[in-house]
Amino acid sequence: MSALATRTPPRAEDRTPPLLRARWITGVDAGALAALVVLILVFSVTAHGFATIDNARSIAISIAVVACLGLGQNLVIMTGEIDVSVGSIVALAGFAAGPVGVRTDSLFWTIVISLAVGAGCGLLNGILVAWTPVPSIVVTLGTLYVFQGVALIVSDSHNIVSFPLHASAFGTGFVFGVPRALLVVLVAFAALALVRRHTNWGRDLLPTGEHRAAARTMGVPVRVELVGAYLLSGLAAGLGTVIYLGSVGGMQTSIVDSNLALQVIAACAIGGTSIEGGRGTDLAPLTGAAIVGVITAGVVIMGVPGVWISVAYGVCLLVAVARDRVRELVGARRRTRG
Amino acid sequence: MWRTSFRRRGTLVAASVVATCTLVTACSTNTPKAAEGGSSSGASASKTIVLVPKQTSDPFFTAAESGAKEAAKALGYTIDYVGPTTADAAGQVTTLESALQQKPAAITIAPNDPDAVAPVLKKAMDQGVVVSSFNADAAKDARQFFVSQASDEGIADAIVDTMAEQTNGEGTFLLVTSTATAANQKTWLAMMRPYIAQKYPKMKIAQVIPGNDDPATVLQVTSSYLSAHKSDTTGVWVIGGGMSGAVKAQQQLGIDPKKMPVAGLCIPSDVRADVHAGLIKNCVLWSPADTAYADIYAIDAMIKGTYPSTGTGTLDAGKLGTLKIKDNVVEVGDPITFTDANIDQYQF
Amino acid sequence: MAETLTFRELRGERVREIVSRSFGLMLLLVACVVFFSASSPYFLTSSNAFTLFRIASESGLIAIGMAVVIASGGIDLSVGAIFSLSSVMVGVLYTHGVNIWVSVVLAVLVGLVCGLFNGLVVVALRIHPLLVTLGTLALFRGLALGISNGSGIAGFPTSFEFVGQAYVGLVPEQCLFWLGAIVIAVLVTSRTAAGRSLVAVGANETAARFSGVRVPLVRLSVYGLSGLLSGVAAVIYTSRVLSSRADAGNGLELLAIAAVVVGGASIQGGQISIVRTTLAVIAIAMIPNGFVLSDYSTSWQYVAIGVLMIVAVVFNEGLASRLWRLVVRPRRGRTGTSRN
Repeated sequence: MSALATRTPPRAEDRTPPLLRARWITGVDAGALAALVVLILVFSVTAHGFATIDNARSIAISIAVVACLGLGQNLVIMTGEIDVSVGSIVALAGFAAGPVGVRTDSLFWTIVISLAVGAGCGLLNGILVAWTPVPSIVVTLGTLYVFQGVALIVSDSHNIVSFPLHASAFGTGFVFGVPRALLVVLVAFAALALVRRHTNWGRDLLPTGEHRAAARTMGVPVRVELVGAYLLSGLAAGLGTVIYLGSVGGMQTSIVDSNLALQVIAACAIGGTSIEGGRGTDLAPLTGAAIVGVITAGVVIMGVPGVWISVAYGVCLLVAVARDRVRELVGARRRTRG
Repeated sequence: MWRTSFRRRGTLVAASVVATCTLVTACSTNTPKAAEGGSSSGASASKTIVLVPKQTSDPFFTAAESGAKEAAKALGYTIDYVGPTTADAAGQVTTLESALQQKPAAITIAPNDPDAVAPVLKKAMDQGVVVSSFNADAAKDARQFFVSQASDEGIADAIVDTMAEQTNGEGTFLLVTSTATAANQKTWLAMMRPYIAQKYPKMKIAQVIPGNDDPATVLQVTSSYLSAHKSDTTGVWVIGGGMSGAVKAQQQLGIDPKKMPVAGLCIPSDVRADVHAGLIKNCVLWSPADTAYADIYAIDAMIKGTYPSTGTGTLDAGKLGTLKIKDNVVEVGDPITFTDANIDQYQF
Repeated sequence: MAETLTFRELRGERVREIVSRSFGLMLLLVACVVFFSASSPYFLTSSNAFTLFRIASESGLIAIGMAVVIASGGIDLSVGAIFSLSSVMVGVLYTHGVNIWVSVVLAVLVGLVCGLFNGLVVVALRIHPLLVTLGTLALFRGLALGISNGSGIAGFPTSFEFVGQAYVGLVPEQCLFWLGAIVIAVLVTSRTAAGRSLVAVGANETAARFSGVRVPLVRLSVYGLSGLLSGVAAVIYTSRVLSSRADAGNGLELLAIAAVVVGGASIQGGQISIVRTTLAVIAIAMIPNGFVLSDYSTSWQYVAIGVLMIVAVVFNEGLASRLWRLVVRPRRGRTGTSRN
């Protein structure tokens, strides 16, 4: 569908000087990274106490979960679909793996169960999206409710509390001063980026999103792409759950109210992945999550009264989402005038 | 021919569905409507008490449910534990409207908003249903009595005192509340401030941030605040849920919780490990099970006519003994301070 | 997809489409009614039915707006936030001395303005409506929180009760209002050029533009309408509970989308049926109502809604037409090919 609409030529990637076309950073990322840098500078100046190592670590830990989920959601969005059930997958994985983690203090079993639940949910999503004509937003809305309900039933109205030390490893602790949660996310990022760039399956993700019918004609196994993307999204949610359990030390039944999926989608979009599919980068969810984390922390440190924090977040989100388009429009007008 | 036959068939299907529904509905008007608009004696034919929590999956309220069931078993009632899945007022109103259809003996609710539920509660009272509130009060004319776990002043004073004794009555503090809209929070904060001004003038609340009752949010806001104000913060008050998040934030930043006390309201299950480890010295709450237990006894008294008609008097509350009632507020007791020694007695 | 193309070529396809797309909805309605009336004797009473309709009227109005937005090919995630902002406006204005009815009108206008803001950003900046309304979701709710300072507002005059609590005979007043809105919406979407333009824009924007339809105007209007209806629903809600709070309307947007989709409309746009959307709203509202009456655990409610939604939509989207082709063999004398 995006190919049928008039596309503003040329694409940002083509204009990038070779230096920036490095392995991990593309031209599309440059805009988001620039925004991140600007925000950090602004807050460092206006919010006393912002520019500290402690704050940097605090932000890194607070965005780890959203960033991890974003890595998976990014793949789904690239194929032109969406997954609004990730928040519920985290809840379900958390209440399934949590009690085991508490009883055994085993990081291994926490990871295994969490990933298994995530994979199962992701597979279900993928199969429904690929094999029924139901649009993905509808499917994942339905599974959002289903997973949420099952999570609450499994929890039996008991919160997970006092998550033990070893099982919390992914969420706590520092390695050479860097929070372990961040390292886990970076490893996941590297793994998924490698898969996306160097496997046939991965390279076919963007074409699937850009023009589904053309991709099919070219021989891309669209159904496999979709199921795979959702599977990875589910796995990422499972991994994010392990980080969550470790960093927060447990999980509450009220997590179902947290709108986690929307935060994750926002992070991917702010970072530069197009919501229509077919355009996106691997770094997008990380930069997007970082921008949101910086804004949230900055607003708290600035002392903005609690009731206005949401407004600040909404304004920044809109500005971030509009920034690229405004720049395009201004650029286009300048070109046609000149 | 093709088209009209389909159109006819389609319309027929739709029409028959609608007709069936209407017919069945109309024919069922003979189901229990006897007590509609009746007097108080009409509703007591039922032995069901509807208990509406703020949120059904909240362990705090499932503890209340078990306390209520214990009392109900002794007195011969059944408890219908129904409510919204998210802590909002609209969900409670919908639940109440639906629950009213089955003509219960009584409805008791912990409202998310004291006024939003008032119209439907008044409607319930008009129909002869006994209405009470517990844990949080509804509008005074919308319920017959309120079961208070502890007075608001008592709670506010306890929150302040437990922190003051750990910091010598002075210092600068971060205050983390529950959600931005919770009514109790505003009340307690409004009572804390004058109490501090009067008794501990050297204590200062530097900033108030909502924690949304969520340890993850409490963790995030506390760690953001503390990374900027590490050196000039004396302690962290948490008066919403999620106190363990504040302790986690301190651990992440390498702050010793014994040097920067975390105090306030807590849920035993959330902070049990921290209290045993000495990371939290003490914190305050009350027993939701006891509150609900007393509530059922009070409802029973109201139904049987032994409740004081002036609104002031005493109540025989089974295992809790005799409780005082003042101006239609049943006082269950004082807030409980949890410490390493007693926290294991409370399992919620 | 080739099979559905053939299906669509048959004459009378539109009628068949309507019936098959309603299949899942009808199934859902019947299933709910049967199940809940079996679980509780109080379910199928006129008193419960009117209670149900009374509460559903607010979601129903919002669902009409959502149906219109989705029909144009867009989506609006901020309806719940607009709802809360309008509700807060009624309270804040009234407590600052403004006459209650003027406050009501202003609150509804605020809803309209919020909706137009959404539309403006979508049209002028050409950003995907999902992202725009995601941002305005946070913005509007944040404004509601800030303006109300997190407090609920009560103390409305008794005359205000009329909007949300009055009865005309046995029928709640807001149901009549809802019915009126439905009738107007049905007439406009099916009989006016505006309605046809709406569906045209959603079905194929480029073709619509070349047919002379003012696409930006259509887009702007649908978001404005959605905001307006959210504002109206908020006023009804505020009157029903006599309290205005910033956390009202949580989750309304997802339920509205669910209702439109279960009602058989395609999420990509180009189709609209107000009647089916309304029936879907009622079906979905039955679930919490039935659960309370039957005293089933509320956690299962979520599972029920999710499963029913998926099943209903699967039936709407594909299963029905496939069953149709199996069961009803093509007859002689029709135009179009018999290619399978």
